[in-house]
Order: sequence, then C-alpha cells, then structure tokens
Amino acid sequence: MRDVAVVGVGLSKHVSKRRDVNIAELVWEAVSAAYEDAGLTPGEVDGVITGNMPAFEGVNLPECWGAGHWGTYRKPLLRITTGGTTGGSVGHGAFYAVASGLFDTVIAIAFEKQSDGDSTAGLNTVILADIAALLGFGVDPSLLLAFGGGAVGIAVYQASSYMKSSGCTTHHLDKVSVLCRTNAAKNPHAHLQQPGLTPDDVAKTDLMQYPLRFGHVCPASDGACAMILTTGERARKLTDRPAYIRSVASCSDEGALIGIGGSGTLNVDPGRQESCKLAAARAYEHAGIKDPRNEIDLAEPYAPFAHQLLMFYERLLLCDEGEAPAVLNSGSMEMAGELPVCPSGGVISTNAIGASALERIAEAAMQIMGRAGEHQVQKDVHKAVAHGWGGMVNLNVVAVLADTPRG
Amino acid sequence: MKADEDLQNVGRVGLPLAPAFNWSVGNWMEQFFDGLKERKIMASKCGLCGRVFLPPRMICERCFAKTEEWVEIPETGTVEAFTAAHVRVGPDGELADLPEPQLIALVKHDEADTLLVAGLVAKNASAGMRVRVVWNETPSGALDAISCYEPMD
Ligand SMILES: [Zn+2]
Repeated sequence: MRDVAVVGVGLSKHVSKRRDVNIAELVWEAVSAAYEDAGLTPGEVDGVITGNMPAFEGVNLPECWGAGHWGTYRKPLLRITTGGTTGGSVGHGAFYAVASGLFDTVIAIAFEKQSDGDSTAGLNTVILADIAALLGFGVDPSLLLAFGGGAVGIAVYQASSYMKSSGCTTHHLDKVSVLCRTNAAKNPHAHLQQPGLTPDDVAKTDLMQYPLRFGHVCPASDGACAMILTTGERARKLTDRPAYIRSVASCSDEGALIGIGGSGTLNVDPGRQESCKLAAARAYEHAGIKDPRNEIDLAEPYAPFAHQLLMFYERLLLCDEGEAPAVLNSGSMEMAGELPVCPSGGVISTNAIGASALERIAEAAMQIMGRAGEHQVQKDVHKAVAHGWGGMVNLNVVAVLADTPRG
Repeated sequence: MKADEDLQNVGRVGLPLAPAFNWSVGNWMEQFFDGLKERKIMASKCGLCGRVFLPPRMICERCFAKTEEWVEIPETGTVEAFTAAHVRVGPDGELADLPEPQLIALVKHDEADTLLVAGLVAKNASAGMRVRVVWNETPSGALDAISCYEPMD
C-alpha cells in the first residue's frame, strides 16, 4: 500500500442560504480553493470522488451535471453517499484510490446546499418505505418526530442514554456548545460563529426535544469542502509539510434508526456506538498508534449534537467511558489545551450534511499542515483523528492523519 | 410461519409529504432569464478557448475557467437533431396519444457552441435545417419566452 497525503484543502464559506449560486457553482468555490491551495490544476488530477446526501436538494445525481464545474472534464468520476458519514466515506474512497496505486492524485469533494432542498423530505427519502409502512400499519404520526427526524430524532435518545451512562449533565452540553461556537468564531468558513457565548446563554435557548435545547443542535448549512490527495512521494515535491493519511477504518453496526420493514424499533441503544470503538481501534492499529490518548494531538469528532462531542471522544478511545465530561471541565479540549477538540467549531457550528465528515478530515489536515489560520491550535499537531457518524446512524468512519508517513 | 401467499401486510401507502424546493439558478442563468424578458438571447463566453455557452454557464468545463464575457446571440440557428413525439405524459402520469406528432429540436444558434431545446413548428424537419425563434407573446415564466422555432424559408 502506498503512502497517501493531503496537499490541498478548500472550503466555501458556510451560511444558511446561498441564493446567488446554484449547486455546481457553490461547490466550485471549494474546489477551486483546493486546487489553488495544492498548487495544482484539474489537468494534474487523475480522478474525482464526490458525494452528498441522496436527494436532499431534490437532485439525486448532482455530480452528473455539476461535476464539469469541479474539474472532471474527461476524468473518472465516482459518487459515494452513506448518510451523515458521506463526506468521510468520500475521503476514504479517495484514500483507497491513491493507496491502491490505481490513481496518483485525486480530488475528494463533498457538499450540501440545504437551502435549495427540503431536508425533511430529503431525510425521508432515506427511509421513505419505512415511514410509509409505519403510517400504514397504524403508528401514531406524533411519534414520527423520532423516526422521521432521522438523526435528529435518534439523537435525543442517544443523548439521554449517554448522559445516564456517563454522568454528563445539561451543563456539560452547554459547555460543549460554547467550546465549539467560540472556536467557530475563529474559522472564516464556519456557519454559526458566536464569540463570547456563555453556558448560560446556551441554557436559555428553548428546549427542542428533551434533553436537547436549540443551542445544542447544529444549523442547516449550505457549503462545500474539497481535498486533494496524492502519493507521499508527489506530496513531498508539492509542499514541505503534507498531512499524511496514515489509515482509514469504518465500521457498520446493527441498525440503530428504525429497524427493518417498518418495525419502528432499534436493534441497539444508539448511545452505545460500539462501531466507533471498533473503527477507531482498527484505524489506530493501521496507523501504528499504540497509545492514542498520549499520541493523538487533536480530534475532530463528528458532533452535530452537543452530547456527541463527549460520547465520540470516548468512543474514539481518547479517554475511559464516562470520563469525557471531566476532560471537558479540565480545559484540555480547548484551542490551547492538551488535546484540542473541534478547533474548526465542529458540526454543531456548521453542518452542510454531506460535507461535514470530509470537513473533519480537512480540518485535521489543515492543522497538521499549519494552514488553519486563526483557528490553528497552539501546540504542534503531529497526529490527529477525524471521525464521521452516519449511515442509518450505525456507521462510524475514522481517519488518522500525521505529519509523517507510516513507518 | 405462514406460506408466502398468505402474507397479507403488503400495503400500498400514500405519503403525507409535500416537499418544497427552492431552486437557485445562479447568477449566469439569472442573466439569461433577464435577457429573455427583453427578447435578448444572452450567452457567456470563455475567455481562454472562446467557447460560447447558451444557456450561459459559469465555468467552461474544458478550461476550468470562469466565463466572464457576455455576448448577444442572433435569433437564428441550425437544427442539429430532432425528434417527433407521438405521445406525452398526461396529468395522471400515464402516456397519452398526441392529436398529431410534435417536433422537438436541438438547435445550435448562430455564434453559439452549445444547444438549446424547444418545439419546432414545420411541415418537415431535417438536420441542418435553418430555423429562427418564434417569441411567445404571453410567456408565463422566463424560459418559455422562446415559444418554438420555425423554418427560415
Ligand atoms: Zn474554455
């Protein structure tokens, strides 16, 4: 397997509504920024791997009409869509392409233009048959917030389960929002930027669905992310400090969303996320990391909901289960801390759904390359972990990045 | 367990959903729409290869460059390909016979490099046929400002 490195990253500014551009034009902003960051032209790239959520914009094959705007002219083109993990899976696909030796240089592109679409209808296309069946077989429609809301619906059960098992309180949730949204204030691409936000401010936001308040939940964003990956050899010619992707691992668990065939049940507690632990363990092993707690310098867990930052910090094996709330209180997760978490502001500040899990990898890469600008963390970042959560809320994807290739 | 043919609960269920989409066409298509309102056919041109896009596109895919130049295109063009539709999709979603075949043409306007699609009102159609725009007197949107094409002679 060949060494793979990130040599260029591009993001659009993320906002609620981009009325001035269409999907292809919005994505172009991130794509052209990535080519520029890498110092490459589309002619020097061998293939394009892209993804977004299925039908969220009402267009199920956006790459087929938009990809010309992204430098695909007469290139191989592949789309990957796996739910919330889509961007992570796109990153993994790009890694596979280069690591395998089939491609030397590829661009990974992930995006969502939520304002064009109807996200509830979009989410429902994921589980449309199940929703229809549930209604047809007599399920009370008022229960459908939990199911029809997809990830949002499941997150509240996950939060209450995690809070019971870990001792995490609503005060910790408030502090997570503050950590992320104040970091986002330093990230020019982030959506919700709230410098000076306090836990009290978050605690005063309206309750959405117990135990989550509006202040604990991600916004719906229009945005795109692109990342150029190449061989270790070529990367060293392009930049002094490439970000090597040492490993990727993904793991799909039992269904935790809705069961099969309209049963309306969950096979596993959505607060467990054992598949994250398995994926993380595999990724660290392949990356040559024996002691992630001491070796990882920075983490970008995928956390559109406040409790998930703590839950996934634990499931990424960065502390014992139930310990993350105390780690949060210690200040270690902050920008100047020992193991900064979501210096980008995370998904709770910015969520262009299909793009979000790629943005975790992109942020880790930028931090290693020293290109994060105002949200560059204080410490030197040698090794970082980037995570995505999605599928039918049962899929976890993990990537480990470093400033040196695998030994 | 029941035999397969005894399984009853296979329901056809309607969906209580009314999705709404807010399509952003972008600044390039917006210029095209605005032009049509004044019966002007506006195209964007690549500054590198000179390719002229009708309708306008922000990016020339061949050059990966923004098309910054605007050109007004003549109402005349050439049929590149055509078809004659004998059926249409009716309001019930099923195919219904048309009273008479309807010609639809892909037209390359003079001075443009890409194709527009619209109805063609002619006795006979042929590739290479010279045509001109018939403007819609009462357009309901932007794109139907071009009612159809008709032969030049
Ligand atoms: Zn060109």
